[in-house]
Amino acid sequence: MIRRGTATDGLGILRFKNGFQIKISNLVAGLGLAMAAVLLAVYSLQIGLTKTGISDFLAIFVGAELSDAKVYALIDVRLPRILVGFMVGWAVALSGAVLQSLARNPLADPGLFGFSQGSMIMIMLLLIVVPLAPKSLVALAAVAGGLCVAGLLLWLVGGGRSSGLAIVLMGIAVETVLSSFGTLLILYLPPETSLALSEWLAGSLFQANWSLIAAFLPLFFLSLAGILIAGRALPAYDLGNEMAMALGEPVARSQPMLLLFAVVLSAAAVTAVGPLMFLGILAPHIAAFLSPATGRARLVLSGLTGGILVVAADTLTRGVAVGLPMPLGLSLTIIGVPLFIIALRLQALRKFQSH
Amino acid sequence: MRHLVFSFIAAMLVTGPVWADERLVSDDTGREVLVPRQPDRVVVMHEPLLGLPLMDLGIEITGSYGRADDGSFVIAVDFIDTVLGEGRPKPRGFGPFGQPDLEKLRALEPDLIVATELDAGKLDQLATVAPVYLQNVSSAKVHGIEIQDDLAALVGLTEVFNSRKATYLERVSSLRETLPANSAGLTYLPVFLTDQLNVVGDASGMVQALEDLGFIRLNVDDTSKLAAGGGSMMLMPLSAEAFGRLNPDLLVLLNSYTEDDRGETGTRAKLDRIVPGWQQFMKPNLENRILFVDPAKVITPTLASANHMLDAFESWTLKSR
Amino acid sequence: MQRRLVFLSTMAFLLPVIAGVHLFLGFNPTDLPQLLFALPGSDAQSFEEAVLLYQRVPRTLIALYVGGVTAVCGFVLQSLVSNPLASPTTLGVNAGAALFLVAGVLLFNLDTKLQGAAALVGALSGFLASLAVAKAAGRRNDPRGLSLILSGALVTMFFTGFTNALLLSDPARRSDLLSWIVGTINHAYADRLALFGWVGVIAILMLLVLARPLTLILFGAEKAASTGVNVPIVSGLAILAAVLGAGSAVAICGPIGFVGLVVPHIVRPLVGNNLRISLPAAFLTGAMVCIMADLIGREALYPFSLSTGLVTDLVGGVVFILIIKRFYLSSGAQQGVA
Repeated sequence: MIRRGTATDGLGILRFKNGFQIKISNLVAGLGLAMAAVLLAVYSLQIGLTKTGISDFLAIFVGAELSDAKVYALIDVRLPRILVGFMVGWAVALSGAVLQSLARNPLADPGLFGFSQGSMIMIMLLLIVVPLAPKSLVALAAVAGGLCVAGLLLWLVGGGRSSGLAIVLMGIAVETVLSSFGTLLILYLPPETSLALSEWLAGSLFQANWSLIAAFLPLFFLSLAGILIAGRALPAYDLGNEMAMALGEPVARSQPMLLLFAVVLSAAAVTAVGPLMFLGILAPHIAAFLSPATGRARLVLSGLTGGILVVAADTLTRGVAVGLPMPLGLSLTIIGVPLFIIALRLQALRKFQSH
Repeated sequence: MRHLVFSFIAAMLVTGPVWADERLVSDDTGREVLVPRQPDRVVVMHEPLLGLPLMDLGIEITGSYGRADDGSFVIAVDFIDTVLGEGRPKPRGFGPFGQPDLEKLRALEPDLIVATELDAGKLDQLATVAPVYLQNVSSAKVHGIEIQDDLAALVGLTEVFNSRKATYLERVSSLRETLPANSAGLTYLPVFLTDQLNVVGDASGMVQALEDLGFIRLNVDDTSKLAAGGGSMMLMPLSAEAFGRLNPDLLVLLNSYTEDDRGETGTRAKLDRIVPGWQQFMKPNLENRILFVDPAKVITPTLASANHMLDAFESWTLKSR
Repeated sequence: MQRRLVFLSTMAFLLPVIAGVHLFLGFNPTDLPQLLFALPGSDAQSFEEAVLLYQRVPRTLIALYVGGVTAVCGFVLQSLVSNPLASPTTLGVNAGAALFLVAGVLLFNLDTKLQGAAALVGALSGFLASLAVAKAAGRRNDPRGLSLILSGALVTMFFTGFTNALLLSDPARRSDLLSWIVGTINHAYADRLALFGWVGVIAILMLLVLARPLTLILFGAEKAASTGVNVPIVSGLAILAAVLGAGSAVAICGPIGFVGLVVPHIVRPLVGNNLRISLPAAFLTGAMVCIMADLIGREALYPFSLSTGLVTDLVGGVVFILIIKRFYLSSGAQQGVA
């Protein structure tokens, strides 16, 4: 059965019969986040031109008759955006959390390391040459771009001897070179093409529909599997490669796999929505503030936080009725940055109090 | 037998409306689209390049991407006013750039959506509202007012377009007679002034008018791999030094939209900042071969813009007598 | 000491040479003597002279000013914040300037002079925002100054998001502003140099005056205080001067990336941290780098021109990679670098 116990650091945990245990704070945080996600989704369902919401949505299942406009709004526009937004936020946050463990630096993020830029540039080049490319080709291009950058970074950083700071610095350098290449394209392509590219770079959930969800769903389940498998290895990585090896982690095999995992997640997100900068740092940090966790719990909490942030950003985008555009990237920044600052502040206070 | 006739008539009645109202066309990217024969609620995804040509032909556009919900515009230049004259009803918007709102779009009840080939990513979602026709607009693929020609064919107004084009061509030939006899092969160079010198692309009424008058685009550099705007993928600004050394037979200067004064004085002042000394040393200026044009009037790929260009050309030839 | 002076004098010698190349490359060799004589004057007799006097001379001056001032300010910022990543780009200065200028043009239709003023105000605001965020995050005692960099990155993201949204909202005027945002050295901005150049000059003079106490602070704040240096005031003034100087450079021609970040790294190993020597060295090196980048931008794709800011971004990024590889990833550099 489930027994309540105490872990070595004095915090409460729950022990299950087959040896599985989970910290109570993590469990509470996880359930809280999941509930927040559902509530946010319900709220988000009613934002938009058409006056409809959760009650209408539920009525569909009972067989009630709704006007075409309402059904369209709920089923074709809002629900896919919420679902895709959540999955994309989950993916990017997960990618960031994995990278942070691998690089042993809390500033690791697929955008900061250039993976997003690599995917972006590959997609841009593809769309310039073949504007009507099918989504699968675009996704492949994104993954190829991300992998190229990952390979470049690995080659530049050398073996496992580098400090976390050096990896981040190298990532920033690579990212800047790549984004200046992107700027070159935006600056010197004809105005219409340049505008289309800028629109895409700002991030948008416009393309969210059920076929995209169907395409993303396998990746989502894969990520769940990945969390189960990789989650256990990550705390070992937090201690450094040599310690990880000493603890029995097959570093040479699992490190590339983890990197591949992170790259594929970030590339898929970029394909669906465009680049979401900094989310890979924001989400794990905010999640860590809610409940400091390691391993699988950390991954799950980060993913939930990432999903919530993106859905919240999308709600803000759709709800704000100003003439000024509020693309997804901007609303994510508007929501995420203050939260991040608050989280940092409270974390600092907490540390101060506990001394 | 009666049943057969009856079911045949029934079948005709059912499929009849499809035949009468819609037809299958192949858009510029090769997609097969079922469009209405006479669309009257058209929504465009790029107003200057797609909306203006249609409005010029007489169709009122229902919706346009980038406008505010009530049809007002936050940006500096409203091409409908400058090209077609004030007082035309404006299309309504469904979201600022970067954030098209599907629900608002659907509320407009369009029966045809015209988009550019660069909107291919939005295609799936747009198609849930109305049939989507993708039109090529990049400089490399279309020239002059081909866009208006294509769109006229799409909405069944080819006759209107052709008759107006005939009138326009008559005007062109009468203007050509005022040019000197050996005017074949004269070169022109259209330059848009921001804080640098940008050679203008190909798809506009201005280019159509100039080339119909017999001018040829000046090739800025034979050895460069990048063509001077026409037909190329990348458009880089022209170096101010190289510009001063150029000598097209007709230099066309357009001042940027951030300037309120887009007439001759404003344009001259702007160019003074970019290429100081051009007034003293550039041959086209010394020999009065410069045409100052307001881009807001001539830059759209429409017959209206081409006619505005002819107006400017006409007044310039009259002035230089 | 010997090595430093050699470096300084080499730079002092090379700079006029490079400036000369920048001024005269591309002209017909037979015109050169006549052009040289035209230089002191201000009246142009031919198009070549007009190019020299009205285009190239202002351009060289702007490149010199921007490169030199940004490098000096970057050097000071890196030293004071004691973080090798500090620079106007990473501390929100460039993003703030870009946002205020774009908003000024698109929302308020400002003219050129006011645009430059808006950029200057924006640069200062960007930096202050970074400080505020760092303070709000409650990590003021972070010895590595990493929180300031992180705050700068957050502020940059925030401002850049707004800038991009504003640019999207007005496609017709977007092209005007795009090249400025990337950073373009353009003689059309010579009037802005005249307007804001004094800010940078004063900033550099102030830094030179403060060079000695600053150097003492860099070697240890307590030691410096014990010799009578007023640490908070000197540091505060120095940072203010650095930010305003960098802001004036951005106000003139947009954010030229990487010069403020990379040049100090080139200069510091060769000249050390004695600011009375390293600041002039940084100025000379930065000016040279900027002039060379501008030369590449002007001539590489003739008759088309490439933005200087793009050149510095691309080349500077590659150099940055090499610097990190050399100084951070060699086995001796494991234990944190200054």
